[in-house]
Parts: sequence; C-alpha cells; structure tokens
Amino acid sequence: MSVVLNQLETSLGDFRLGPLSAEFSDVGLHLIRGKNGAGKTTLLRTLLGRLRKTAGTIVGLQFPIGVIGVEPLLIGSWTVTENAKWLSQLLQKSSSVIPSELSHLALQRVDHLSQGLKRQVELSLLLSFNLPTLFLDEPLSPLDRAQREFYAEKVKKAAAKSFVLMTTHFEEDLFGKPIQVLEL
Amino acid sequence: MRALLAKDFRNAHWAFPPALILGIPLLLILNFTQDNSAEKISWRSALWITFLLSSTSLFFRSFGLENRFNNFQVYTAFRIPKLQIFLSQALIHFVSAFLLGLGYLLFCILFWSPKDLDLLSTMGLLALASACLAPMGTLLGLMLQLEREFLFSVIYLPLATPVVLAAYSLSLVDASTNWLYVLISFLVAGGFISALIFEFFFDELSQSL
Repeated sequence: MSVVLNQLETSLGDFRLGPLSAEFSDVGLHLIRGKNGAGKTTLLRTLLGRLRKTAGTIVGLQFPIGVIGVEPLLIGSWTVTENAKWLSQLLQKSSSVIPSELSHLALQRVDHLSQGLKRQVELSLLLSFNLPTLFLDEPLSPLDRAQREFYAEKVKKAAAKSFVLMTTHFEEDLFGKPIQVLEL
Repeated sequence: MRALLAKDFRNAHWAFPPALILGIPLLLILNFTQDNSAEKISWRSALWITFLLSSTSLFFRSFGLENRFNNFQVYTAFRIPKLQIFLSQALIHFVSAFLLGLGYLLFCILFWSPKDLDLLSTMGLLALASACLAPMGTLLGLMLQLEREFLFSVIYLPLATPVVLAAYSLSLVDASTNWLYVLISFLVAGGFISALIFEFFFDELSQSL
C-alpha cells in the first residue's frame, strides 16, 4: 500500500503550505527537497499529526513513526539506558538492549552529551526498533564525516524495510539514489 | 500504560517535596499569627487553604519532563492513546494530592490539636477533593507548554475554589449534603471536560512554537 497525499494544505502563522499531492511507495527512501523556509519540516509535522492540516487527506501512513530532527526525542535528565527503556516500553518492544555503538554512552545523562552524540543516540535507538515509518529531518547535520557515513548506511538498510521520508540539504549521495523526490 | 505511570511517578517524586514544603510555612504562619483576643482561624480553614495553594505547585509540574525537554512528539509519533496519557497523569496527581493533603492534616493535628477531628471522614474528603482537582490540574499542566503560566492563577484557582469550599463545608459537623453533590458533579463534569479537551487538543496544547 502506498502513502498518498491528496491536496494537502496546512498553515503555521502566516505561512501556508500546499495544496500538495504526491504518492509514495510504502517502502524505501523518499526525499523532500526545498530551500530554507519552503515548508519541509512543516510538512513532516503535518504528516505526523503535530500540526493540523487545513485541507486534503493523508492515506496509508503507518504508525508508529520514528522521528528525528522535527522535535526532540530524548528526555535530557535521564541516561541513555533510561531513555532506551522508556522508548522501548512506549513502543511495547520486549527488549530494551542498547545498540552496541552506544554502549560507551549507556550510563551518561543525555543533556551532558554534545549535539552530535545526542543525534547518534536518537538515530541508533530509533533505527534499532525497526519501525514501519521514519521521518528524518536533516538527520546527519550534527555528525562528523565518519558518523555520517555510518548512519547513512544504517538509514539505507532501514529504508529496505521501512517508509523513510527525509530532508537533507547536503551529502544526499551518502544515502544512494532515493526512490522519489518531492520538491517544495 | 506501565511506561507512562513509571514516568509520571518519577515526575511526581520530583514535584512532591517542593509542594509539601510550600504549605508548611503557610500553616506555621496561619497558626502563629493569630491574635488571642480575636477569632482564631480553624484547623479546617488552614488545612484547605494550604491544600489549595500547594496543589498549584504540584500540578504546575505536570509534564515537567516533556515541558523541559520539549519532546511531546513521541506520544503522537508512537500513537499512544491520549486518554491513556491523561489517565496516567491524573491518577498520579490524585495520589500525590491525596498524600499532600494527608501531610498537611498531620501538620494541622500537630499545630492545632483539634478536638473535633473525624479522621476518616477528613481523609475521605481529601481523597474526593484530590479526585476533583487532579484531572483539571493535568489539563492545565499540559497547557503550560504554551507558556501560559498565568492560567493557573486565572483558571485553576477560581475553578478549584468550589471544590475547596465544598470540602471545607463538608468537614463541618453540621454539613449540608448539597456540598457533596457539588463535589460529585465537579468530579464527573470536570473530569469529563478535562479528558475531552486533553484528548482532542493534545498536539495544539503541547506545541513548542
């Protein structure tokens, strides 16, 4: 089943987005391109349900959705392990094992981590849950080159099984060729 | 639900001591600033005034973690039923408010040594008042994400006043049962309306913009 946006419209203050129509296959990497202020994040928030659409329909989107970069994911005063347990319990996953690449951060409080490390934690945890849908808003921007390559590979692997909708301003080539591009 | 309860319990664990401490100086002031020649403030008045004011501190910290770290999106993204979030929060608030009331009752006993205290019925009233206030406190706590702290003084205190007046009146020896109907009506109507607003406007109320 594909994900279909039909004449979707939303507004945020004076900003108006749409009407947008698109059809995405339900698995694979899909890119949203557009300059700053074009409405990429607004579109993701609308699809997620955090912004109310003013017109149109969204069909075929599967929940739960893993979201990176749209709004924060983690509770800063908890450790990485506590956040992993909290998220896995919310998702009713039986295991809350910390991904191996995070083992050295397991007992660290999230708000003591740098932006890059926080993003690594967010990406590693969400990608480990095998969610049907992922919204990634500039997922690699706080990461160094080596980590970008590492997580781009992980996103590519996730896109083989999940519907991934992503915005990025640079290094698109790290992710391989997207199935579809939506220009805003 | 277990994850939500555990998270809300942790949050309440953090919010409870300041709320309790807030009321103790108030009780002390009410007890020690009484003129012997004038009519004294009764232990009932002191209990319910302190309970009302301190409950604002308790409810004010609802969703303290989500407010601070701005991560309400997980509930929407993971499709956690909003009613479940509401019930978990309201339940923890109910227990916290009841324990807060019991704490103040203990201090009232220490400071006033009341002769006319009916312990069981006072505890029952504290439980009923807590049940009335918890849903409304949950809703207003969520609204604080919009930096509308003033809502607590503008909405919560006026709305909570009938509950406290009813609870105070029912704690009197010759209480009218009409006040019980006020409390029960408030519990049912307030709980229902709070849950409804919470359910349908969760995302709007928790926006960080």
